Amino acid sequence: MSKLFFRWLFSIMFLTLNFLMPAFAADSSGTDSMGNNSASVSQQFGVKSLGTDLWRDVRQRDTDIIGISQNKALKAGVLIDTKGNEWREFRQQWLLPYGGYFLIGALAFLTLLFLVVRKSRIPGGRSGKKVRRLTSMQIISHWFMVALIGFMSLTGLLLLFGRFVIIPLMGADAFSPIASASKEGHNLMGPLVVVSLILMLAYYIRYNWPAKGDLKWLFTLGGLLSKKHLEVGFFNAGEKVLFWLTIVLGIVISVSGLLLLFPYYEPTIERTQLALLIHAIAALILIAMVFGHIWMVLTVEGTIDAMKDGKVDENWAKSHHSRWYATASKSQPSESKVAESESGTSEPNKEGAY
Amino acid sequence: MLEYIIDGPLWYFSLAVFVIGVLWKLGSIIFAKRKADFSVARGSSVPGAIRTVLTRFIPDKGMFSEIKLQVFAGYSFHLGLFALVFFAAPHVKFFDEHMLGFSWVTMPHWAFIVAAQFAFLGLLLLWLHRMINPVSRLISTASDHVTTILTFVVMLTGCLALLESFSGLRLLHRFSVELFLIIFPFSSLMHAFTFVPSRALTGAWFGRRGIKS
Repeated sequence: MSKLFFRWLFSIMFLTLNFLMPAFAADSSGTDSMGNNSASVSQQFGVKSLGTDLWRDVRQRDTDIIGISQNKALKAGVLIDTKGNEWREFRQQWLLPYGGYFLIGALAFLTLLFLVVRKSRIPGGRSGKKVRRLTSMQIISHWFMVALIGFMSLTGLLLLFGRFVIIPLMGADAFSPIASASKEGHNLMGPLVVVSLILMLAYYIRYNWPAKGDLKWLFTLGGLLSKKHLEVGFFNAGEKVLFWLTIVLGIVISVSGLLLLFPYYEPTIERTQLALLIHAIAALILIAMVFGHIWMVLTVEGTIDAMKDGKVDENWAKSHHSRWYATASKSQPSESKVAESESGTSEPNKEGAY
Repeated sequence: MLEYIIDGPLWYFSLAVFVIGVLWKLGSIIFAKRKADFSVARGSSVPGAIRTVLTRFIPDKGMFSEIKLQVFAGYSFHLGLFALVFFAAPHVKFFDEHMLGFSWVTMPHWAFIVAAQFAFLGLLLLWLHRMINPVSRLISTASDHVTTILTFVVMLTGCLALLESFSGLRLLHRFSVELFLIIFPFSSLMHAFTFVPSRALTGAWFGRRGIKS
């Protein structure tokens, strides 16, 4: 009795498995329930599905096929644009992990620098005498850009990596409003970055043209390799490189961002995806550069003073920007004047406040 | 619970503080005792008052080169904020449904975005100027900074809730507005109501004295 029962049971299980195996095979190959892989199933059973060719065309498996439609809109003849799916895969497999590694790597490198490199003191200490270096408008332009880049970086990073940080910490319910708020804020403040770039260019470009000694500064890493004091003007070559990289990356981010904000002028999905990719990569590089900029400012004593009230210590000026100091001290008999340029010409503060 | 408090009692409390506070402040200015002016009038005070109220919208020629930033940022912020408060579709709908019972024309979405950008641009520049310019920094009080930050937070939370899909973001905006309304009568934000009588009073005095300014 029991032998017969087991024989029956074995036969039923064998037959069931025989029927289910092809279905399991189809599912495990990653196909969806739309019958996309029905060709292989059909071939196995020797029957060709009538929908196979149709769905292969709809999903554009073999080639891009654009159907005919009375709708004149762009891509009205495309039922399913597979480019979105390809972009999603690229974003998940390349952009997010490698972008994340890049930022973590930059932060780790800076942490290492903070631990290894000692704070650079002002040679001879603070003199107590101040030299005016920047006008109010120059300081305002700088902090305006800082505020915007800070906000855009925070919201941008939340949009790019937020789901991997916020959801495990606070849950999906918390992430939804944060993502929505980040998107609205990012889109709203984006155009103001263009204004901040224009202000930065207007108030700083005059100090950032190549000048005598810049190449020497670059080749010796600011005198680090040559162990000699270098004569530097208003900005050193490193600061000029940072300025121009910020401007170039800012323009790239702004143009690509505006194309994303106004997709009507850039309607193909490939170009939109390219704009998004460029936007993300340029932004990540800029954020890493900002980290480096913050490290430099915090490491070199007295540097931040210029961005507080526009004045720097005389010993700092002599040590870091001796050529500028030589002209500035001549053109600034008192603290009431502003040294405007390396050429030695000085102008009174336009705001009349000093 | 939090939603109930913010949408209910706190809203009515903040509105009451705002209305009573503004009326009390304005009343105390208007009905304040003044010394009688016994001098012989050299002109009429009314045209002087009107002239000063209007001409002060235009910066003085001699001063303009010194205050370009304040003029540009000031107009950018105030006009942007005015458009946002009174012509943003969600605000007009709120005034209609919860306060006034009637509505008026609203801005399209793109105009809302442009107005918000002008308002943010102006406010950020003015705040930075307040903190960085030595003279502005010297005459600024803690209250000025608090109200500037609060104004910024109100605008920011409003814009972050633009999608109108999440109750939490709406509540955050409304809560910041309620704080704003409570602080309003006791801070320099009152200039929104006092700038006209202040100019008029100065102008009337000028007019009576025959001063054209």
